Amino acid sequence: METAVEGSEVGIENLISSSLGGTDTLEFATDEPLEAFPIGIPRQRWDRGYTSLHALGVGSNSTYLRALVDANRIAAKVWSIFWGRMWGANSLMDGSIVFGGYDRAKVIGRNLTQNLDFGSAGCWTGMRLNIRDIRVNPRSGSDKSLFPPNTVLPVCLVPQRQLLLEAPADIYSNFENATLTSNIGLSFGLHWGAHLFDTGTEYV
Amino acid sequence: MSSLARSSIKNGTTNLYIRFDGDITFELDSGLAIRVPNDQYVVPFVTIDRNSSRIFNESQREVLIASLADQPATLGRYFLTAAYLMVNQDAGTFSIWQANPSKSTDIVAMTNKSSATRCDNSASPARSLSPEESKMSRMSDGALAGVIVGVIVFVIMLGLGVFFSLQRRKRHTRPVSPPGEILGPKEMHGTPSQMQVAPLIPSDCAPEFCGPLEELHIPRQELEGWGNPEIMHEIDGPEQPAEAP
Repeated sequence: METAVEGSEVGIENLISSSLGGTDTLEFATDEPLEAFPIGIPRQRWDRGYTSLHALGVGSNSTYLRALVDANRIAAKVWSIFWGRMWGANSLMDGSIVFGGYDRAKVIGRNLTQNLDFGSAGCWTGMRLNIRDIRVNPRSGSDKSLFPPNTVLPVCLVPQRQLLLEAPADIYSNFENATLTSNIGLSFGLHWGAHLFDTGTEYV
Repeated sequence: MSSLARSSIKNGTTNLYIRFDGDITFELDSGLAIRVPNDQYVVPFVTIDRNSSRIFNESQREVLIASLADQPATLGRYFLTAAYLMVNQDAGTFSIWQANPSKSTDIVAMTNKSSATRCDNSASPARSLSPEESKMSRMSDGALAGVIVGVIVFVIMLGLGVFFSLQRRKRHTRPVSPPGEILGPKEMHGTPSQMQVAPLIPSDCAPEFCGPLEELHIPRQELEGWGNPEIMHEIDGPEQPAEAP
């Protein structure tokens, strides 16, 4: 993604100099392969260990998107993503990425379209949203808002970020208040920074 | 006694089992609401082993929300379990829909201004460029050269065909055409009228938008076909009755 800005992955500016590099044949699904495609292999802990997946760059200077356009494989530098469904035993679903368009079967209703903004009022991903409210939806009872009145939370949409939400501490504590839960610490697994909870059968 | 024992088990700290099984809804600008299911943000603890396998701890759950101090707030990958994102770098926009968690697909191709104005058809069909088509669009310069050569050869052939047809009218009683007159049968089939020269197509226009290039190939093949075995058979045809007893 875009180069080092507050909030972005640490170490991007050193990525080129600290990684292994080379070229390889890049082939996706049924496409013709892209020959001699440049590949970088980050060394361990380039992001201090936070980022544990390999990355396919699709930022505004993406080598891959440019290669697809130059090969007449796609007509425009467009990419779309649905993450799928993870972890639940009954709801697993593959995600999908579409280059050059989007998958109309995976969308409902009208979209929200905004300009990409990489400036100081935007985000390093270019995708800034304003959240007007966050509500938890208990199975019984009414929804509960986590926002103080008249609050708008600007967020950056970071598709590769390992969690659902990184928010100011007071909004997270509103979550625990609304759900009557209390964490036992932070997670340092795949979901770095998530809040941990016990599943013991005893509760008060 | 028993309740005191329970509450003191964890060093006096009260640990609550996360029993919250509700979803969480984000209301964005324009009123778009994205509702993330419980099982996409309250998940088992998982970590990645050195050998890249996953290790779970089923006695713990994680709520995939972090607390920040000064850093910018973010929505991460799990937001995209309930929202569909499209980034259009050429238009400089991004779009978010409520996601339909479906296994079916219906791909819509997008064009940008330069690819749309380059060709007439700006309404993109839901399809993808096949390797054959992309090769054809790159062959358009070669095809153009082929058309020019084909036109020249066609004019020569037409002239020869007319010449030989005048010759043939003088000898139409002969049952067999000499094998050497390969040009003759083309004239008998009336091929000069079939051999249209396709209108020149702009060389930078991809055929899937601006019409088939196949028309350009037909004259070349037919012109090459004056050595065509089928036409040779036609020449041999009239001889067979002569062989039959």
